[in-house]
Amino acid sequence: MLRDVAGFSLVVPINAEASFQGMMRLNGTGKFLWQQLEKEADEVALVSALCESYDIDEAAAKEDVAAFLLRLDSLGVLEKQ
Amino acid sequence: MPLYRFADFVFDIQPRYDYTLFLCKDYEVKDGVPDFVIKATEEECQAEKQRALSAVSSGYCEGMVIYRKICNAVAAFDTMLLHGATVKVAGKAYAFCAPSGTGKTTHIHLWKLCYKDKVTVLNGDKPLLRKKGDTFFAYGTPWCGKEGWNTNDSAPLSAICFLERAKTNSIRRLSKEEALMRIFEQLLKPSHIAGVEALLSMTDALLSYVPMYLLSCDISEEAAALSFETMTK
Repeated sequence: MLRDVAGFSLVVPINAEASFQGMMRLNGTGKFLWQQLEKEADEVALVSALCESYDIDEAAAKEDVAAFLLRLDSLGVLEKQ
Repeated sequence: MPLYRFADFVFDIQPRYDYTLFLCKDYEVKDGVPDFVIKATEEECQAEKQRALSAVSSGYCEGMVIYRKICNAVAAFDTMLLHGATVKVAGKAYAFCAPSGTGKTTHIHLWKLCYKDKVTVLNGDKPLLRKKGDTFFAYGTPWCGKEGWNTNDSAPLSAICFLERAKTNSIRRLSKEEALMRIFEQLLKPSHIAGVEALLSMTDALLSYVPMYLLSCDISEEAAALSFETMTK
């Protein structure tokens, strides 16, 4: 789950069995993307949401989203579908 | 069967092992209505024993199972387990946190050597912290590390001090950002969503209301004096 603690956006696991058991801090963009993920957005939807809300071009958004997903994946945060 | 009071909650735990009865005897209450009923089954005690890294008795394992269940039960009621050696001085509590083996126990032992009867150990390793209004209270409980240092008492938590080993002694106040990761690592994560939710809001409050320090120290009375003077002044 994503919560604000002491002014920082934190992601923590809610499942004791999850492979990710730490805490991850997100910046503003990270928080935005996480909230899209909570709405079941896929990679394409993340890129278009980022373009719309942050006024950046698609290539840059694609790069940011890919980097964000890679980081989540490397920490074992993502559940693959 | 007796009831027990931990962190001002009343528990019906009905221990199966004498070890647990002995451990908890200072926390018995004669009457009251239990807030929680906590049971450790024989299967859970044995499973805990299997998981243990060293040879431990079934009674010890029962205590571990019970304490974890207690922590999960109270999590949604603004109460959490802090991994830290916690002492009481002049009516206020001070907690020392660090990875196991850094010297938390040694440091509170130095406080006792230097300040004698002024210092009471509430819990040498795993106190409960309960938030009441804007104040966090630290509570002694029987589960307190291998020295067995605990007192059935409580005090408002006045400061948390993280320890790291160093050749020279220094102490400084941590920013919320610096303290956040450190404190989060020392709090037991509840195993249910409502508990995790409560843990995060308590962490937020803890960072706002309780000053946190980083003490870089060696093992000396000078180190104890530095943390004591800084935090209790």
